[in-house]
Amino acid sequence: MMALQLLSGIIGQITNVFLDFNVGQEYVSIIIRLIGIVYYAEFVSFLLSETSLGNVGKMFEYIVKLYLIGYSLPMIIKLFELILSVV
Amino acid sequence: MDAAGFDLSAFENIWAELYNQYDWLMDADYLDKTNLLKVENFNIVGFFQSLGDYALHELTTGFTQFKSVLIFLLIIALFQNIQSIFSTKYEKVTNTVLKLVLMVQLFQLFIFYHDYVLDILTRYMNIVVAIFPMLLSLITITGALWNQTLFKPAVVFLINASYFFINAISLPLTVVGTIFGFINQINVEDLYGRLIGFINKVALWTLGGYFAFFLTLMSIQNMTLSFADGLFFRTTQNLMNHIPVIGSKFTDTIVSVVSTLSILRNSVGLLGVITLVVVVAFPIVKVGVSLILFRLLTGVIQPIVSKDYIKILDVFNTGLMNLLVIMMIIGVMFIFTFFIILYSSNMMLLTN
Repeated sequence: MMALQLLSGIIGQITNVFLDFNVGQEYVSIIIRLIGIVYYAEFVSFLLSETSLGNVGKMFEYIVKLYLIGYSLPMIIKLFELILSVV
Repeated sequence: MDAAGFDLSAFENIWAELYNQYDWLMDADYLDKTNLLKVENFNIVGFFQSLGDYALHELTTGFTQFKSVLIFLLIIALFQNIQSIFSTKYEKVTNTVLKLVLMVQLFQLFIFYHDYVLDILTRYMNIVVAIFPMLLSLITITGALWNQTLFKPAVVFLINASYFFINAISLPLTVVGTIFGFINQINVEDLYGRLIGFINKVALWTLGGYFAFFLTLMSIQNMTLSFADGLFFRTTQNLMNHIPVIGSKFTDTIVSVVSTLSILRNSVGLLGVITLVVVVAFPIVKVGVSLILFRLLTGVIQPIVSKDYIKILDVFNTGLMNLLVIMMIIGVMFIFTFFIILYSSNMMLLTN
């Protein structure tokens, strides 16, 4: 619980920095979510290995990696849209 | 012909648009706003001062983009550090996502500058199309008939070829080179490095080669035509001198009229050159300042983030550099063309 509170505090600070310097809101949310996903994945993976569920932990890691790839999909689509708009 | 009665509406429209676009040009008094033909009053120091002011303004505007990308890269560096504290299991995937985010940001900026350069160059050539006939008509009435006959198709060809080079070769190749450059950075290996280098070189060298070819052609034409026009004028003078009683007086009058009209032609020609310089100088400053800022950003951020991100910034910088070079080549080419035509039509009187 304490770790979660710390994490949300850090995320809040980073968001403020982003917003102060006019970095696009969508980019802010992507980076923040990435930090969150990676942190929680590590946390869950560690818990699973501690409870002798290492195989489940490895499967979980694969799922997280797939999720991260899927997460970049809007960016890939946007990049393609930009390319198509100029070509 | 009365200089005051000469129709300068094309120039007036262009300058009105320029004053509308660049606010502080209204305050800068390097050109007489009430009488555009007073080109001798052109204040070159004032012009460079207003260019400096514009560069400072662009520095402030471009700094917003600079700041935004800088902070984004700093956060990426921070994120990489935080991530490495936990583990490096997700490093590759997260790096790809972050690279994509940076690419999207930079590509949006690149498209903005590409559209801007395309817009400026199209407008620039439209201005050439608008003022060139005016200069050509003045050349014709001052007796430089060969100049008019051969420069007209040459410049029409120049304008059409420039449209072709900009729309079909240089700008599209720059875009393709930049797209390949970004795609190349998604992979770990440098797969398209040589292809990208080739595309970028073709984009610039074809335009540079065309520029060199055309200026050589124009210079040769200039030398030949001015002597031909001079000879024609001299022969006509000699023939008229043979007319009894009024012949020599008539010739003197014609020479005086042609010399007077030459002053008007030079004023219009110089006004054309000044207009072209002003139209192209401000956009060059704008893109140049952005390029300097992003090169600076690459240098500043290099020790902090991994070199993958630096390479992405390098791709953007190369694309922006190409756009700047294309704009400079086209700008200088038309300014030189106007100079050569003016010089050539003046040479006629000198060789006479």
